Amino acid sequence: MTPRLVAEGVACSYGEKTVLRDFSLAAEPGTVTALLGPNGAGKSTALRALSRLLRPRAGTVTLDGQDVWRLPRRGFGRQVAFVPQSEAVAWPMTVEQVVLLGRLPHRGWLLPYSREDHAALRTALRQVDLEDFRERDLDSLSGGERRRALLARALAQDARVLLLDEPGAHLDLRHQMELFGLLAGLARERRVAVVLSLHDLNLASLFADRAVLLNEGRIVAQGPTQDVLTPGLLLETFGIAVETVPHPRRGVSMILPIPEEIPGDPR
Amino acid sequence: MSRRRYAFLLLGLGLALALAAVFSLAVGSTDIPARRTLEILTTSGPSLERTILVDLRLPRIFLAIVVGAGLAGAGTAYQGLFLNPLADPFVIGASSGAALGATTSILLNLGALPLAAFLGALGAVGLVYLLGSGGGGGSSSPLGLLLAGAAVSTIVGSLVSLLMILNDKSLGVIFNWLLGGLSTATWRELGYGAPMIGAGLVLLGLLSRPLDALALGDDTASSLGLSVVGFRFAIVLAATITTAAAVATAGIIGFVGLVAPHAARLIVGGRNGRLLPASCLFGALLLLLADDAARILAEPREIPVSIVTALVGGPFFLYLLRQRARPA
Repeated sequence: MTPRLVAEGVACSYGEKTVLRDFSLAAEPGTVTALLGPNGAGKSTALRALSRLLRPRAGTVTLDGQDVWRLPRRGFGRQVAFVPQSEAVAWPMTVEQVVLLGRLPHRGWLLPYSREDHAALRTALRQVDLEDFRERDLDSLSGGERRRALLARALAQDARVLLLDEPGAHLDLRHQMELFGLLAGLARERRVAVVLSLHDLNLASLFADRAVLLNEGRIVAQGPTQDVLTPGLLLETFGIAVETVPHPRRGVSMILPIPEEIPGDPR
Repeated sequence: MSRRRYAFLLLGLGLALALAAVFSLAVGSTDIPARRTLEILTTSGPSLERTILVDLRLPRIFLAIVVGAGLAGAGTAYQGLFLNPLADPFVIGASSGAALGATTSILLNLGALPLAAFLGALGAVGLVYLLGSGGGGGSSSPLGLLLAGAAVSTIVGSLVSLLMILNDKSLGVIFNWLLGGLSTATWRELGYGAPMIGAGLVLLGLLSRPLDALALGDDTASSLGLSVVGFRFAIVLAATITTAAAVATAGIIGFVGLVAPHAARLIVGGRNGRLLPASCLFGALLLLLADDAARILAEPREIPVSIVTALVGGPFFLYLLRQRARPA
């Protein structure tokens, strides 16, 4: 049975400050879910709660019906992989070394890496197009290459649920397309449940099956992406006016913000 | 670095260490020719030369190797834990704690100086750990530990100074100990120092993959199934045991634990499982040669070995920093 990660009525706070309330989400196998919203809306907090890094003040996060805080940490790590937003790795580590660490939940912290682990390493590197970077130091890579290396670490984890905090940041257009194509492909072909936060609404429209709009720690709307990315809901969430047009090839909504008029600007 | 090249590096370092050890047998105020040395070591029968070789020089060589490896290993762990190449084995207070322990032991005439130094080091780091993790239950962030380490070191250090000023009769003895040295090495000292340092290093070796994972950040390490708080504690504990045992047997010897890991990392990279053995071998070699220099440079007098390590290690470290600063 494919595991299903579900949050129900989750509230989180840092100290006194509540940053997420009544958050509910089901990460369905085979789908990509996008968490959307302005800065500080609670996207990262929601991901941290889902990935068992932040204990909710209220509500539950369950994996196949079991409270994730009752699951062994390593067992959870075999099922759910998380790629945080920060990419600061201030240490000379090679790509291979970092990606192999993704095997830690499988191999444990002590046993040597097996043939299976090295196979997972090769697969993950191929998936993110970094096969020739194996021996390179992480800090010698460009921002985009580094992101892909850190993603490969999560892929090597071979988890059924993949949580990613702004995976598209720092990537150029081509690598953005490839990355989201890869994630959507993992969802389709290997029934992985992907949940990610991102800022680019058009990427969400192109690749996400479901979307959650968050603002100030609350869910504004959630559902199939095309139902959620409407001018009305986006105005409510982001406070700006947008217009949507169908993508000429795919038919999905493309979001076009309408800037305020600048006096003297001919456009 | 390929597996093959790494194996050659370890082999080379091991060979250099063995050569240096043999050379060190000949270093000292009494001239014992190589042939005579071989003769003494392969036969039995008491003689003054035998005593010098077997009871003075040999334990001293082994102690230099063990302490050098220990300091380098602990330095490697702390640099990896704090993700800071400037960290050394004493970064969170082990040296000042050991100094306080030793000073107290000297002043109160307690004897058991190594034990006092060992307990002092453990106590200081324990205090730093408690303070740095916000009075228990906290997450023991590296920054919290560093800050608490700096504060506790300063306070404990000034306590030591105060004790020294108030008891100026013992000033010389205390000062001598603080400078560190291997000249008092005995088999007995080696007997309790080596197993402790060895145990600490083996522990650190076993913990090298968690240490790697911690470099990816607490969130990632945790999502990989590691207890971040637990493993950080285990690493600090292992590094502290190693440091405390090294300080207890040889006093406070600076720069080995800073330079050796740093240099080793430039060659083998940051993967701790590989870094640790290379760093330990390098540290052992460094301290052994420094101790030889300490015996040779001002013959027939001996210079405290910590002065040599600082004189050699300081400029070397500056050189490394310049190398790093240069654009690749």
